[in-house]
Amino acid sequence: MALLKSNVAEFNTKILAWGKMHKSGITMNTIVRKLLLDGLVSVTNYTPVDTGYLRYNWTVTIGRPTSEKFGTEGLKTLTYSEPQNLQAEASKAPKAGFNVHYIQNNANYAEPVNNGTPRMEARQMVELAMGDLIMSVNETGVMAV
Amino acid sequence: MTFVTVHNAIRNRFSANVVASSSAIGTDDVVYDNIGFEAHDAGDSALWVRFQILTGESEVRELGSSVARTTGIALASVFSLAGRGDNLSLGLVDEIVSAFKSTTHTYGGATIVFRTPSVQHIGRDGSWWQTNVSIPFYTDDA
Repeated sequence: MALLKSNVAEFNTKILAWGKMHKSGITMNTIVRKLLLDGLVSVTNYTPVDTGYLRYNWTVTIGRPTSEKFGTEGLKTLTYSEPQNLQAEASKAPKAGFNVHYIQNNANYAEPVNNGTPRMEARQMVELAMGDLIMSVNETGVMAV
Repeated sequence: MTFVTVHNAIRNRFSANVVASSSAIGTDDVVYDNIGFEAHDAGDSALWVRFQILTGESEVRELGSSVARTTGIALASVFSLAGRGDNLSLGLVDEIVSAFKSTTHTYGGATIVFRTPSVQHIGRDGSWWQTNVSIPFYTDDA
């Protein structure tokens, strides 16, 4: 019986702590940031590689899209600091509240690779990454899709 | 469930519920993964479809269980001759959407749950006008 009381007390403490965290909005912001990073990782991994230029050009922006291209010749690879910059951008999500978040690619052949052409099969990396995100959202219990 | 049964079940849905019943295309007008390139390189049809199955991530669904969920996209790229309008291709697009929209399909031991398809005009490339029907799906490994 003593053990049961202890368990109930612990359960109450955890529920209250979760409620405070949820009320302060930390939970939603954490989830948005996690989804952004998950989406970035997922879409990057689904992107096919020839020179690496297309895979290199995925980025995250908040509030508005960017027109910046990250590789100039298609021969450059990610430097040590650049993945950290992407993470820093994604980590602004909590401060940005509920702004629109973009995961985008400015390589000029990104759309034909994603959507296909009469002579080339589509890769659908954006749609596949969205499928992964929907599965993640379902598992966090944020919403039912 | 194996990936062979999953792919066969999705192709069966497309073959039985679109190709077999459509007056717009026949079996020779469909290009599946790794088969049927030659016929359409020559441009011998006014309308043809490339049907692809792209599987995404697989994840374990429950703690202490081996049930895994695999998500993916079934993509029907509809190509019609450029300069002929979009009625022909959109008619076929509607047939594809109605065959897959929010449907559960069981075939050969695999059960596939299809979500709502999205339709997107990709536009003209050479002598073809392209419209994509992207159909998200998932299947659970029982």
